[in-house]
Amino acid sequence: MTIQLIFKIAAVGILVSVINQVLKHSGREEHAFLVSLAGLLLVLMWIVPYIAELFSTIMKLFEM
Amino acid sequence: MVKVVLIGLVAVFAVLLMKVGKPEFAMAVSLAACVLILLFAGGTLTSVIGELKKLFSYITLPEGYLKILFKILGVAYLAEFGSALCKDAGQSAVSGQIELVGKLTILAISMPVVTSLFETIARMTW
Repeated sequence: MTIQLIFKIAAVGILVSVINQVLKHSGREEHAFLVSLAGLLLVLMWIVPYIAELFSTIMKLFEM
Repeated sequence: MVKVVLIGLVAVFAVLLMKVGKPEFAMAVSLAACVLILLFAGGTLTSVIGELKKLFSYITLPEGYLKILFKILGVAYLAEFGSALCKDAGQSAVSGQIELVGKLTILAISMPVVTSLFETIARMTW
């Protein structure tokens, strides 16, 4: 599961940059921005559970 | 250990790939890699801390000091994690603030130890 996360994020990043190029050349700037925003939110949604798990393990480990 | 190195290398390649077009995704990939690598280290960390606790149980140490020590370890690690990530993204001002707050919390946590030290010194001299 772990390495797939990085591949998924990389895939979303590449896809978003390609879509942005296409949208920019076809003249729709605001759509390009919306697409990259959506891609970023999707990626963040994937990462947040891992970050939460990391911080809870650290809190539990060091009894903070 | 091999898995950790592999994840790090793959993440670095992904970051370099996306650093030109989409810097925010590069930051997301490096954040994900840091988190994943540390989740791997969780297992070994728990065993090391268990051994440390066993070692500390031999010497008669006031219970509070051990807890303070571990808390300082945790705060130091978190501060370093956040500040390194911010420095990677190019925001050295933010990373400096995170480090400053980390140092302050460590100082605040270790205040009781310092006061008890001065108390023992004062008791000895008079």
